[in-house]
Amino acid sequence: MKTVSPIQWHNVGKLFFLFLILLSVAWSTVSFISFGDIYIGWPIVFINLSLSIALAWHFYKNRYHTVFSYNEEEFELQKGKSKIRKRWKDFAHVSLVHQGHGYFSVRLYKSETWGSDFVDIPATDLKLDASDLRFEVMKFVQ
Amino acid sequence: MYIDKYLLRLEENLMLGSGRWIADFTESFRNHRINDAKFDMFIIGNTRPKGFLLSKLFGYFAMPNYRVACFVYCQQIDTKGLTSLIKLISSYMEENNFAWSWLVISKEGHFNSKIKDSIKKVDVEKIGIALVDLYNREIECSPSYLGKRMKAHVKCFK
Repeated sequence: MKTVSPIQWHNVGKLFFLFLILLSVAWSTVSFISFGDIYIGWPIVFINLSLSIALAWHFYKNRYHTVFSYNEEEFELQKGKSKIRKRWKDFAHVSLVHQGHGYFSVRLYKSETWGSDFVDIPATDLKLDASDLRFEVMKFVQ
Repeated sequence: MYIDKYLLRLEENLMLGSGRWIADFTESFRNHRINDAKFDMFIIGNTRPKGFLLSKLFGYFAMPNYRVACFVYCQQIDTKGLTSLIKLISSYMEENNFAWSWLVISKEGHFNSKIKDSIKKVDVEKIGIALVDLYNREIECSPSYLGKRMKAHVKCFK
């Protein structure tokens, strides 16, 4: 099986800054209540940065990290903790979807009618060429 | 220019390029079959842009959310075929609540004068039609408002 699982640095970055802001606000509040002043020093900055990196990585792995494995028969898509394994033959129709902001997915429909049950393969998150992946998937589904 | 290359450029132009000024084309199907007709490409979208914060808010309150489509047909066609294609698209639009649609008929070579004349006589306001000659890079559009508007967006040869 061919496996693709690039790290989505933009999501890691977003989570890192989110946790950095939250931890800074939390420390400021605790410090002000405890000491009557907001204590800022290099050890605090270092702890905040380390905690933010650890939390961002943990949340990224459990929520955003995508692993896509496939061969001509079937595919497995894992996003965070959720995982699906399907056969290409379970699907009848393929489309290319623009999710906005330049993000593309390859959508697999279970029946010929669009709008029915579908599974999205997030091509941009997987750093794959969405159009090429669409044509490859179309060959598997036919 | 090859048809495959043109389809890729048209798809990109509608989903990411100038087509976004007309509608938010979000989903593209290849070899889409509707009854007996097989469209080489079929793109659907709506007229409300996604945007961010203020533009999203403006879009929500000010823009109507019509469903729209673009059908691309790259096979040999005559006047009779064109009429049946328009009928098929009209009924499909009605079934699926599309407010308007574009029909792009493209091929590598000249279209005969009968087809060119017949699209000038098409009297369907909800469908804009364009004949795209990829070899000579010429475009003939139907005289409706939609037809006139689509010329700039289907002209993606470079």
